[in-house]
Amino acid sequence: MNNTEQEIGNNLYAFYDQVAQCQGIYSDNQDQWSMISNHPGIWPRIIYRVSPGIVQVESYSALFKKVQEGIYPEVLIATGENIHQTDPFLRSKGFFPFLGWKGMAREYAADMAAPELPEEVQIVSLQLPEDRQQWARIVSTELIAPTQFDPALIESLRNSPGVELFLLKYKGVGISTMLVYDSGNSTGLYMIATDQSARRKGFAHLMVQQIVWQVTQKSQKPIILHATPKGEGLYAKSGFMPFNQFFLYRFLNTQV
Amino acid sequence: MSREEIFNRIEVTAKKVFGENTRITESTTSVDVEKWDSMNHVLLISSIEKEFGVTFDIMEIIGITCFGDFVDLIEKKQP
Repeated sequence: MNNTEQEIGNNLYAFYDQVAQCQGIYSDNQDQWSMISNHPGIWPRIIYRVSPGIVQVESYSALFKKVQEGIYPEVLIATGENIHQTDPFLRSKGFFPFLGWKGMAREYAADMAAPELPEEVQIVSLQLPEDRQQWARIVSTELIAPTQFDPALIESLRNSPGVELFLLKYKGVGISTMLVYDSGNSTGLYMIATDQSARRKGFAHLMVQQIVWQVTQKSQKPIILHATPKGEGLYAKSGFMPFNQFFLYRFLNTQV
Repeated sequence: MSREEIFNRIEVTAKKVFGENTRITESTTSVDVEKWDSMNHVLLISSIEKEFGVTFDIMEIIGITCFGDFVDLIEKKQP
């Protein structure tokens, strides 16, 4: 695994750890997996990360213990072909895949020209309470399955080291969102979302172009993001290349 | 099985997961259905697999965004 591929995962895990700290909850790092505990159905969810190819029951003992306690975690795996070993094992234990995304990265480019923003478009850092409300509303519709987003968490994240939240406004109305996280070794772009009524009009692309340019003015570190299948094309247009694949599994606790 | 027949069976399955009053079309996504959370997403996939006697590959699963995607996959898996 090369450094960029590793950094795509490392930035995500560091971001999850930052979120856990914001929530005042315990993030347990044990060898190759970590846990962020929270209430199911409210972002962030309970996440375990697992290295590829692990099929020994002992490696999952804490995970299965949570299931027995009635807490239903989600398992995050960053992998390539090893998923074909891990997938049948997880399914045999009642975990099913429900979401996947590509880890993508853009290396530093010194010659990037400043992108133009149309006059009616502004990209702002979240300062005003109404901006924060719009941000939460837009992001919660884009997350996989409608999910509650705690406004207090947004406020806490906004004040966290390395975190910046942005809102793209069109004619004064919030349209697209982004969260930028600087882990020290890379810059991660997260929560890229667009209001349902304004999708497929190029707003997310404008946001990505502008923020990528801003980041490259301050840092030569790689910029990474995690793209759902419908977002890949957008990020490829902005110079991001795919490196690895992530899968998220959910425990199915009901027999049909 | 025709596309319409496939969709009708998927609709019946979806109503068992989301409730009898759920209205869906091929373009219905998770945003349109209140109870379509991650838990019910997994339950829906598992239920449809059992209904049609198929298994979705992991890459097929992560590509599903609407009911039409389920219909496409079932059509492809027909003998």
